[in-house]
Amino acid sequence: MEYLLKVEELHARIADDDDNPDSEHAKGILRGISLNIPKGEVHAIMGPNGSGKSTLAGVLAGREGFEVEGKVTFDGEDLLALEPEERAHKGLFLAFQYPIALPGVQGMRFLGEALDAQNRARGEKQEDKIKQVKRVRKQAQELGIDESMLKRAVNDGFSGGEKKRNEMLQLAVLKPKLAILDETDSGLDIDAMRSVANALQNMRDGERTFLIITHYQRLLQYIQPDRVHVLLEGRIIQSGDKSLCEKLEETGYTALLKKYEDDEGQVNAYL
Amino acid sequence: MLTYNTKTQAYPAPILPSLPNGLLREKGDAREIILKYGLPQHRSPCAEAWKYTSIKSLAKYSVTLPQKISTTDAKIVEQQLLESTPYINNFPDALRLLFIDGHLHTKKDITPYAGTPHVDEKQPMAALNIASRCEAWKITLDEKNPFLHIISVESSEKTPKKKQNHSMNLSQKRLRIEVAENSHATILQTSLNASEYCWANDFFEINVAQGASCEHVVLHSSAPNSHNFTRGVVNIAENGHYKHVSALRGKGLTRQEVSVNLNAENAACALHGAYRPEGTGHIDNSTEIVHAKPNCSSDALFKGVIEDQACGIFHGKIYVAKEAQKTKGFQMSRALLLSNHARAYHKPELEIYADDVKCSHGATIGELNEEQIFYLRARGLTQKRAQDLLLEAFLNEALTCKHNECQKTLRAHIL
Repeated sequence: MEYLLKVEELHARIADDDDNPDSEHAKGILRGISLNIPKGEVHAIMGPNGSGKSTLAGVLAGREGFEVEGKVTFDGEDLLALEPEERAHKGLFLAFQYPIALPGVQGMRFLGEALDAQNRARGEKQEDKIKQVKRVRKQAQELGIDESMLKRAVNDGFSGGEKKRNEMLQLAVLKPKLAILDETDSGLDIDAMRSVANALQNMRDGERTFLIITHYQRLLQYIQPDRVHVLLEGRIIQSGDKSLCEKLEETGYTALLKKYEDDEGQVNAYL
Repeated sequence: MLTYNTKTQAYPAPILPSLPNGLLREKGDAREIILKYGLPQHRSPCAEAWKYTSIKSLAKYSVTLPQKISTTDAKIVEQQLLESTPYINNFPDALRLLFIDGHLHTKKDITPYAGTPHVDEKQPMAALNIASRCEAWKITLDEKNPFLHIISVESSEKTPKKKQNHSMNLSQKRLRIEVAENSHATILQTSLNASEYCWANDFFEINVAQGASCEHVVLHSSAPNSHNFTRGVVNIAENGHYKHVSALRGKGLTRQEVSVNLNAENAACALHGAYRPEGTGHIDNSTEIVHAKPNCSSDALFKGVIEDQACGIFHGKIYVAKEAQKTKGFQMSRALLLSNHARAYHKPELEIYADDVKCSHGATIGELNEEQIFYLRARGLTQKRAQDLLLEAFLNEALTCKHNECQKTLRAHIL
């Protein structure tokens, strides 16, 4: 099978954190992740706080400050060798857990800059500005986003829900091959979560690929994932179909970890 | 050669470059000040006001005065200027005053001015200007003539080749601008100093009459080793409004002093500015706003982006007299340092004697936010583009003006 994203034995630790070689940090946050995502599928990664979910998302998007080992192939290319913007140009998108405010940078300007940068990098023709604005407005409307948000500074003074919806708009406008959603559901009320879920469901067309990172199974009830992976202490300890997330909801992560320890007898539980 | 009075007790002996004969007038307070105290130095009366801008090195130069160039040469300079900065032609409706080396080359609607503005010992550069026999002009802006474009250039090619001898061309001018009652005026001031070893020292006096408004836009860039000083004194009458927006950049030394007197009720002023010193450049914004009467408002906002080994300074003061109740005075200064060797000094001051006022001041010095840069890069912008966009967003706040074309030019100049 051809995979869009292929992660092999990925290790990551915080750079320059070698004060104490026995500390949990020194052992690394990601301790050998292997993960394959075929094109067009929706995969979910679930795990408790501190299991390394956001680090995985950050490392894949090129966040600085980690010492990374292992191999990641994205669309046939060595992902780890690319700069963050080159990863975006290749079609990787990270929806931030905490979207960053950009005071003074208008929403539409920001999207325009991103679109133009990506088009330029891919050697495609620059989009006509007027058409671009019209298209973005239409997409905002489809997501139930008020047009005024495009005139405001990006994420500046936005509510939690607005920030996440804004990430969904960027996702819709930039049309990446792979979207990594880092806890997009956290901090959302039920209505907002439903609207985010609907947006994702609409973008799911068998071509686009999603990696959804979350604590809870609620978002996954709306978006039926093709595969679910459980991340614990920097490793994927179990993978399965969507029934796995229901099982998790019943038993909790601790039970799963205990079972894993009994089986493998090598993880130092510290929960 | 002049002899200096070195008999002062409390102050150190004055430091001054050798000034050409006949530069200074025979008498006057300004002459006394410059000869008595010289350039700013430690313990001189202006030491505090010039704390972060040392110009003692000027003393090692011998000063030369550039002669007025011929009309033909002036045409060539003007032509070169238009080629290098074509935006100058974007203001066809403006009354254009072209100054080359401090000499005026257009004589329209303007009259010589013989007045002697007040100056005190804290302003040695203004004192030098006022004590000098330099060109001084007066112009009135009204409904008929609402838009003034002042262009100042130095004719680098025409200066003597003996620069090795530490000589420096001093060009000075004085300008008094009257904004007539109830009129709305725009002043665009462009000073592009492209030549090294030049010392520009200008003095502006702007009087905004009752009910008038004036927007003053300053574009300035300086060459390495050049020294650029401007002092603007603005007097605002009842219901008058004055806005100053400056965009200063360059590798030389620049000090811009703006001093505003809110002399009557309901007068208002806004002093905004963006500055970007580069290389070993040094830009000093010093402002003083005096609230003399009740119900006036003022707003100062300065934003700096400081690169390389450059230095940026904001020294701002709001003075509220006892009588000036219901004053609103706000002052904010922010700077971003883009390198480990860049420096910024901010000194915001409030001196308030009234007891019913709303005043604030603030100062921040920081660097670009790495998280913001990563967010932009994750969306496909290059590091450079992300940085430029964030700097633009940062500076933009201080670059607004009503005159559309001026606003465009301001932004193009500094972003």
